[in-house]
Amino acid sequence: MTTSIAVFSSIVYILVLFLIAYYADAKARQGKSIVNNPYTYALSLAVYCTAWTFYGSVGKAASLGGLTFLTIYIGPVLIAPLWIFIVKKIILISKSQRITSIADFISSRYGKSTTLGIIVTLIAVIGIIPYISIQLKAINSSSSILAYQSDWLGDLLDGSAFYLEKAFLIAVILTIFTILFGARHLDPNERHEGLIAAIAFESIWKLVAFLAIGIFVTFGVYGGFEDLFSQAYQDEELSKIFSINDSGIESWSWSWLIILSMSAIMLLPRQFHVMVVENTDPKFVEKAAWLFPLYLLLINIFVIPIACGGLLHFPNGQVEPDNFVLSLPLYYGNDLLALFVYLGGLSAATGMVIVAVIALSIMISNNLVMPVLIQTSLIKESAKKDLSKTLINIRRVSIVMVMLLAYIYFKYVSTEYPLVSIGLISFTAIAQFLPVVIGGLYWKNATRKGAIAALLSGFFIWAITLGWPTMADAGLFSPYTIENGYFGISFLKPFALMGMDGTDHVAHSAFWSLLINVFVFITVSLNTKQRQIEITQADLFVDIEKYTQTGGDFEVVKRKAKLDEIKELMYRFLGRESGKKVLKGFAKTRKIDLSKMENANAEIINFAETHLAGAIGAASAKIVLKSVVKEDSISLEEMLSILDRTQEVIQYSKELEKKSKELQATTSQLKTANKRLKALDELKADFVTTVTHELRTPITSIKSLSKIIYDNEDLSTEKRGEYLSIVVRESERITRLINQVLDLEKVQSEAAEVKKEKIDFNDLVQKTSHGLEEILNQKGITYDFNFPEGVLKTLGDFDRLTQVVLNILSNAIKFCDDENGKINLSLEKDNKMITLKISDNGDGIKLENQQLIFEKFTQLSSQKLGKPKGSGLGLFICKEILRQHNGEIFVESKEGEGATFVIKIPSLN
Amino acid sequence: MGQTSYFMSDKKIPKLVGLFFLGILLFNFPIINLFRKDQFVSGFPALYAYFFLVWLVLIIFIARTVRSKQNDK
Repeated sequence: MTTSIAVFSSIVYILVLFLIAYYADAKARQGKSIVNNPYTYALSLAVYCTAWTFYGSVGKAASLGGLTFLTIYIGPVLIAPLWIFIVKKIILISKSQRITSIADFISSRYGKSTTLGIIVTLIAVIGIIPYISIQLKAINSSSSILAYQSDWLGDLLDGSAFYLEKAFLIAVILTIFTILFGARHLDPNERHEGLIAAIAFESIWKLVAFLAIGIFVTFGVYGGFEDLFSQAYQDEELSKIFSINDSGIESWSWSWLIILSMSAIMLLPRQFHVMVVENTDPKFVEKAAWLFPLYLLLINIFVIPIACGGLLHFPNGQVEPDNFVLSLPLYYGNDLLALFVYLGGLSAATGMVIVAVIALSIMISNNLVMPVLIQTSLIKESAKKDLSKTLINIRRVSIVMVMLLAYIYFKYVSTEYPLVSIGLISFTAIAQFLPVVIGGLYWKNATRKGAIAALLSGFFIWAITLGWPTMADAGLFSPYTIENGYFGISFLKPFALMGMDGTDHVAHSAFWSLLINVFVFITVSLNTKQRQIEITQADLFVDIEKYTQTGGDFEVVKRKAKLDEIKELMYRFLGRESGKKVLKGFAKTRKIDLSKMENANAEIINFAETHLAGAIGAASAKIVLKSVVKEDSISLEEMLSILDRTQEVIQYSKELEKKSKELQATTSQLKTANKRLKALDELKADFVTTVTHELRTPITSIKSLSKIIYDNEDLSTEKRGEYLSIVVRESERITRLINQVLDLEKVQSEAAEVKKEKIDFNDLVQKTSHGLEEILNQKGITYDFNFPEGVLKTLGDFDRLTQVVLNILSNAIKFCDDENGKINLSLEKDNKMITLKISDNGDGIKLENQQLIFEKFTQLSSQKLGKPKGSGLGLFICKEILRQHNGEIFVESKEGEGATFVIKIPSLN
Repeated sequence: MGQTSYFMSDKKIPKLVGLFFLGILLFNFPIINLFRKDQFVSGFPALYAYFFLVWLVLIIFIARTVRSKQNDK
């Protein structure tokens, strides 16, 4: 076949595509869409199958990768059942927010962030360029193989100048067609019915072509599957393809390739475009969820047979395995089939290039160029100009730039690698979007900062483990780092990070980049706060079901703007004609008359924002609208800050409550303390009164007697002596009283700190009583002291207890008759207590006084003694001391029959 | 939008997730590593036959799950 025929048929094929697109667009304008059905939708998803599938699968299988090529299709098949809620959710969100690309989706989710839009766009462009370049490579090499007979055209395209090089011309032609398909005019919804119709047609063509070559090899060249497989089995090397084990596939890389393809089917910019942006009805997803796996099954079923056939025919490597698909029919002289198959490969490649480049150009213009333009003075100066022209030109320039980059990559890198390897580099780059997208859909707390950090770190790992080393491997840079690691550190080898050697490069990169990506995403999200717009957007994305059911009234911020200004904005960015059309449609469905309105309400502003977002991206639309829209007094920020404050108040009042409870407790404590103080105060007053009274009596007598002695110098010595002895006695009484008051003070103040030591109570009582025997004998009182034998141990203060015993004995002596007096003392001990009994035969104590005598300043007057001798403090002090020793003191008495004082104190045994 | 829910009824979601995990189990080690190169099923290598058969069964299951949902309504 000659070069001219190959080139001519290629151009005719592309023209046919264009006709289909034109027809579909025309039908769409008439309202009779030919793409608005689930079958076209499923076929458009098959843009996933590129030249990589068409040529590369056979290439991978034949270069003894065995069934590894299948991972790229198994991933999408496995995830397909989940589309029914994941992809549907993405579609619903994108429709309600007019999202037009994966970059817009991520940027919009995280608070319409311009930064995120730029990052995602850059990752996508850098990641996808290798992928586009392999399509160029496939078209280039397949056309060379097809046109094995050179003619005038072949001689012309000899590559003597770069513009005469085939690959360059292919890139130019593809660029022109991409612009014609995707950037002829600006569609506010980024919907291209013609494009989708053409893609669906291409999907059919490539499938039929691949099935044709499969059938040709299996049933034409060989006698069916059995014959082909048995011949392949005879070949020792080739038979390895029939076993995972023998073909040397690792479980590790198998799993990672499946994960990569799962994310690719949804997140590749072109897949997102056909699956979400071009979707006309979310319900189509349900049918596509099994139609698309079926398509993949069909297009893969002949890969192994073709690979076997190719290897059997070209066993010595004369033909590159990637080219088996084309070389086999040519080998058998079936040029027509070869041409048909070649066009199938062309359709796979062009479909991918056109959709991918359109998707990328939307991202570049809306998420990269627009935000920059809007924020520079460039657009403000030309305020009245129609910007839709500018926009479409930005698109066109983006398309040219992307194609140029892809061509350069093809020229310097792709030629060195098989199709599949380059494609997987792209898959790994795109997989970096997976955590932020899935997190964005199901995790409300995912923050903008978390997403930015995750994407940057994941992409960085991708760049150092795949992007850069691949270029170094191709000879663009020195291979030094590949062998020795970055900075010569062996732990930083690009293909063996942390010494993880011996794994597939793609699996290695996917593992590290996604590990870091997810880790950073979660950590940063948990440690950063969302801004208000992030909270709104997060809620809108995660709970989209709630919003679709309630009819979409989810505006929290009340916004106001002049309608004219809104109109002006829409005309500028959508074009005057299409802007007017869009507004007319809106007014019609809402049954409102826009000409009579002066101010735009929230509904109109939302409508304008979503439409602008469709044209220039969510982040840019937000910025543009900000210039004309005023937010109402109660903004979301304010509301949230009010909420914040309320939160603080609640916190504060809780603390107050706690404090007041504490205060109450303190108050009641204070009250009781106060009561006690008052009582004590009264007691003190009583005490002072009593003490002064007690002091005054002896002082009065001392004073008067002294006065008598002083005044009467002629007083008899006898009388004088008598008076003086009274003065001495009364002075002693005062001293005693003062001593006792001091004692009382001491006893009460030292209540808590009685020095308790082991003492022998028996010894104590004996010593004390013996000291009094002298007085008893003088007075002529008979006494009977009975002491037990041995030691009666107790814990106590020796001096204090001595004071008690002395006091009681003195009292007994005091109240006895001097001559007939009789005092008995007995000391005994039972299990726990030591009991001391001291009895006298005095007047005894009336029952009603038996308690009273232990109170302060209680004095009983006795008939015999007339007025009391004591201060009234002695017994009180005794009681206090015994209380401090956990003991007790009481009296048993009958009037006229004497009294018995009983002292009980705990024994220590 | 709005008059009907675009989401699956809750009953279908566990089934779909179940299919997802079933597929992961069937298309992964160690099961796929069980086939030897000398095993053939009516002329097809056993591994090859296994993959496409499981693939087809998964498609049928997905289709049935999705359709049964439509019948519910």
